[in-house]
Amino acid sequence: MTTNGRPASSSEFAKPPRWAMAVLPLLLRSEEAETVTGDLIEEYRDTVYPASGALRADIWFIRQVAGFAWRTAAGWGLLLAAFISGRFLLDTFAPPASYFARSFFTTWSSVLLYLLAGAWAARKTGHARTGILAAVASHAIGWIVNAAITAAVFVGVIRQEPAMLTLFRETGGWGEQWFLPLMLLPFVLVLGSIGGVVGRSISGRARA
Amino acid sequence: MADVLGAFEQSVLLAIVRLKDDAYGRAILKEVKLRLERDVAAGAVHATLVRLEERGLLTSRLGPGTDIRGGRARRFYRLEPAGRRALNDAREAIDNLWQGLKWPLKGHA
Repeated sequence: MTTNGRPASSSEFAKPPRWAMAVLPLLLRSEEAETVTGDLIEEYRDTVYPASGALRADIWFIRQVAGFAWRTAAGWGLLLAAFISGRFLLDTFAPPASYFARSFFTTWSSVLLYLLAGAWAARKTGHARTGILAAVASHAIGWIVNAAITAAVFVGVIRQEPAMLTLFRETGGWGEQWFLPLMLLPFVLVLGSIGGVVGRSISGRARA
Repeated sequence: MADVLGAFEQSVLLAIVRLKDDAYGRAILKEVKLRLERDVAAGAVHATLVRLEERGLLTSRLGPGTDIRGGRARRFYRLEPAGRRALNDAREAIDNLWQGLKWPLKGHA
């Protein structure tokens, strides 16, 4: 049996997904990248691949890399979810006369958060590109958590209240929940890059 | 009690004690999985090792790689006296909590 063109028995030469191998060092300090990557490859080739086959071994490796990414971005992602979901809950249950103040706060606090997430991650690892990864991962975590909260509130409350349902649709509805995160992605990439460069320079100065 | 250790930190330090001179990242991961009888993320073990090293409970050195790792170096860990003290304190604290009680507990809660 072969998966990805590899025989299932050739574990000694099996290779995890290339993109995951490229991402992993960005989530680690330079002095740790070689040893941690070696540990994961050894476990992949020696235990997971022979026991589970190529596909499951690849999934295992990706899960490990995702675990490192989660540790880099979880705090920022959950903070972002608190901003977005907090705004959504306030707008739903206590709609203001003007949305300007709330919009101003959530927009600029999110901008600051992406910059800080990027800078913090890059400072920790010493790689500027980690800033982009951290900002994107925070963005994904924040919006996934927010989508879950929105769905729960929609099913539990909004759907049964015609006035709330109208307000939900008028303020963007599901389109805002699903498409806004995609539309914001280019800005997140830029902010993560800026944060990454700042964090890298702080890290470089601290090491010097 | 100088350093209060969590259960996961204890499992990592005890894995290093058990593995002696062979205590490197992947071996520690396997040992922790075995003892806790559950799947453990490599990131969780790595983060704990970094934290414990920063607290001075263990030290590390680089060692040679092997073919299966593609020649990548291994980082070997060793328990420091502060780590041994912290483990002893943790054990003492648990023993004190259980003093006078029979294990396993019986009857309805």
